[in-house]
Amino acid sequence: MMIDNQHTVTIILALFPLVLGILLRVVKISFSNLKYIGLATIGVLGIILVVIVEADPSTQFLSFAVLLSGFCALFCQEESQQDSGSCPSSMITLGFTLGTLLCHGLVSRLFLCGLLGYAAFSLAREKNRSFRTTLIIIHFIVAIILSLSSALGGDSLQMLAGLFLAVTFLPLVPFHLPFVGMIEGVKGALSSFWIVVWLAIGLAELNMIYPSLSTETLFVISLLSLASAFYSSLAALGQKQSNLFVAAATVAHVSLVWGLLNIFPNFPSWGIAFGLAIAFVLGGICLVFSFVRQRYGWTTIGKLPGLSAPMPRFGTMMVLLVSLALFLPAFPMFSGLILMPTGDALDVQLTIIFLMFIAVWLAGGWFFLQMLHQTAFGTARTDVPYTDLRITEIVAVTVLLLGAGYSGLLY
Amino acid sequence: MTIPILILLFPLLAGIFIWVFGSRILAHVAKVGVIATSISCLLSAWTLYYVSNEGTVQFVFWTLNSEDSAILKVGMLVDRLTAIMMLLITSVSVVIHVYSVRYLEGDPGYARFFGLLSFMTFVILSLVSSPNLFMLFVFWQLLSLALYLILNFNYSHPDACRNAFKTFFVHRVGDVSFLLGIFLAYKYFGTLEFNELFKMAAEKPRVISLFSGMIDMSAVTAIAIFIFVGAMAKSSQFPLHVWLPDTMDSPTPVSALMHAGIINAGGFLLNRLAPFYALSPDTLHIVFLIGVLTVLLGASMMLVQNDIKKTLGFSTMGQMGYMIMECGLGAFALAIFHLIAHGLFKATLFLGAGSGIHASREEPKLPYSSSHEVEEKKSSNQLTWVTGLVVTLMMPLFILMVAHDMLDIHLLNAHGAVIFLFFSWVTVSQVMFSLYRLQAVDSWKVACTMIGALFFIVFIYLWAGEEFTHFLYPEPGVSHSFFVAAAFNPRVFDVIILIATAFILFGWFVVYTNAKGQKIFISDWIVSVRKQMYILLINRFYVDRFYVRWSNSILRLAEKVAHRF
Repeated sequence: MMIDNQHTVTIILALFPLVLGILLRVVKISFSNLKYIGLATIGVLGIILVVIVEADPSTQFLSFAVLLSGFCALFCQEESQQDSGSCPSSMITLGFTLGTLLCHGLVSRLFLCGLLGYAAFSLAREKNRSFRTTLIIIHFIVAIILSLSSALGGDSLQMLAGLFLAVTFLPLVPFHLPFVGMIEGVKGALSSFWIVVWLAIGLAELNMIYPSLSTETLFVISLLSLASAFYSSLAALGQKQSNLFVAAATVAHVSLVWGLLNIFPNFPSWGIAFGLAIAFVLGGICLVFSFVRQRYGWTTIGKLPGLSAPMPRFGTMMVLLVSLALFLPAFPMFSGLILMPTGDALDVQLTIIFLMFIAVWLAGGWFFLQMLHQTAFGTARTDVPYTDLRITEIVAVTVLLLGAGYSGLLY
Repeated sequence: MTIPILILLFPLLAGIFIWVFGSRILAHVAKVGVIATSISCLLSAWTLYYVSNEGTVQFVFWTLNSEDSAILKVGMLVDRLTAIMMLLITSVSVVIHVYSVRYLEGDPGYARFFGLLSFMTFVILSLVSSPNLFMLFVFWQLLSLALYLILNFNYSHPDACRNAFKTFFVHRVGDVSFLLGIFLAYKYFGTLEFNELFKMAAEKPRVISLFSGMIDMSAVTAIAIFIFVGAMAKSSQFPLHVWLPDTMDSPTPVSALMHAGIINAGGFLLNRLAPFYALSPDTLHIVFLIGVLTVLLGASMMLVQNDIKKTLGFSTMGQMGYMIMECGLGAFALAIFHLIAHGLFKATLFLGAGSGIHASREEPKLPYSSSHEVEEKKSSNQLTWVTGLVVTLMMPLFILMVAHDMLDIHLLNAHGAVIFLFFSWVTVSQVMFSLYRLQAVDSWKVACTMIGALFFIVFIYLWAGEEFTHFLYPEPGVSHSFFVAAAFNPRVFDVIILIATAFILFGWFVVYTNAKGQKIFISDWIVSVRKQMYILLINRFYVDRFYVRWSNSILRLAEKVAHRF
């Protein structure tokens, strides 16, 4: 009876922002009211999550991360044509995500299908649909089919579907296209929210299938993650578009989660915290990029250098975010060491971990600093009317930074 | 005995205070930094006195998990090595703080600079007082970041940005290796605490099998090599030396702090892990080899520089090579002595260079050529050669004999004696070479002063080095065990010494005959090697260019991949 009540509460909790988002899309309300309704909803959901919902700590942590990220994405927004549509959109996404994370069985899968369908619909509305977009939509359809069949099928199908969904949401090359497509396509501060949503669902999926992954599967995954780490690190290094840069950097760091699965036991203890730290930091960078884009229409890294001098707040935030990003790979290393049994190590494991760190940490140092030098440092252009970050924007980024610090260092 | 905690806290609090209130109390930020580091310096002096008399002090502030076996412990280890390093760091920091007060007056980043300087002092102090590899690594990382930020002080200046980036990236190469070393240390020995690690490694030697048992390697050797790569990057050892000479775009106080403090981190790391390195003679030989290469490259590249700060930069590289070489020979305490002497000496030189640069900016005619003309005869005379012979060949032998009687240094320990001779010959030859270029030894007054000063310095160095070794490793037999571990095959060592001696003698012979106008047969290709060497040296052996080309090809590949991502 108690479990049934809990299940009902979680469904209501997920449906509440979902229905509200749909209503807000239909009803004409002023931007400031939209924003307050959105923020109040997130606050209420947070309180309910603490007081009423009894979920396991990992799920609760993931749900909080999504709420926090949603709060930041809404809080920093100011009135514009683009942003007035983002509030209902973030509510709908929030509803689907909470439903996927907090509910169980078929209901959870239905919410996930809803989220995938919503994402596919957003992409399908693009005017100039490319072959790449078609591929992404096909990927979404396969994911929806597998998601539904996993709820109805046997163990092996559940395992296969779970793995497919995990590599889609915790993106590994070559399953990264939906993630990259979404981050590239979503407008404004919402791209930051989507990073956290995407990775939170991926971490939850991996958490579900992790106990049933065999040694052979883990070995194959570690090889795939190694290839993914090298490929996406190179992509981040050569990327000029701001959102694509963040997407590539995220895939590179997520590869480390997959790569370390074979070396460190007890994934929930180190992996979820690390995964969320990645989401918060990269989400923060994405958010800061969106502020610059909003002001100057900037999307190409390197076109607007030296922002630290005319925008000191921006410079400080960017330096703090990059500083944290530079040390991300060290977090799972030490939290994993605590759990790792001592004794002889296999030489293959050693080689993989060494290469993994070369790909992610060394290359990460390169591409993050390169980005910092192309945005914050250098000589500023004189033909741009600069305006520094507003207080709400600073608060939003600071909250994400604190979230990353808590998740990576303390949790 | 909680005073060592305050040594760390004062610079940290000063850094935070300046960061938060810096813009409001701009006129007083320097005072905050100076007062905080001065108090830390006084406390460091007291701590050195305390630790020397009462022994090592260790604290644990916090452990990640409550079990006794927690690997992530936050605490402090204050032994004699730490106490000496703390005193060195805080005293250099005080001087640099005071120097910067007027040097950076009016700079828009005045408060930021003092905030970063205080933070960096805190990070270095925490690094040297770390009780385990985990904490040491954390502060090692923070040091890289703090150095990057302070090198980027003039962030609108493209060269400063580029060089800060280069520095951070080279350090990151070492960090990846260091991290893997830590991983292996925990995997094989189950601890990251220094004393426990040394004990476990000595009692339970482990073997790493690579490629399904085709290659077997001692775990201690593998870990020591991986960690050494980290030290190489920080201490600018070949081939990770490329960052150091290019970091001169930062303000002079930063250069002074870097050359007197930060660059010594590698030497400190090797000393902290000396008992561990003593378990792996192969690693010590590699350390020696890298040190030798760095000395040769650094000293030779220094000869062709015409920029005062770059000359000092290459000189630091050579000195770091010496320091690492000393570690590779098992003379760990001597390396620390060298580190302190070099730190103080180089900080003085850099601050002096900064004043010189400032003065010449204000008065473009400086230096006045007329007042700097050497009054003595320009041509080399007999005195030059006698002085050279005495200084390079006779003096080291003489000092060694005196040291044997007065300081009770056993010549039976032939290894140590030969090391000393080798070092002396190479060092004084370098000094003579510099003076020969300046034509500065053509009077009895200069010659006598030079011989006397060198005699005094080398003798004091030998005495202090010996005393310092006993101070740093008071337990009987410990320092000797390091020498034993580092011992080469005597024949190999003799061959190295013989070749070095032959080179020195040949060099003298060539210079002497040239100066006397006598022709000796030297093949044309050997003469042409001089020009080739100059080109090679001015281009820094093309190592930088090789890295640039390599990184450019990676960037081209990255652009292609990014297009398809």
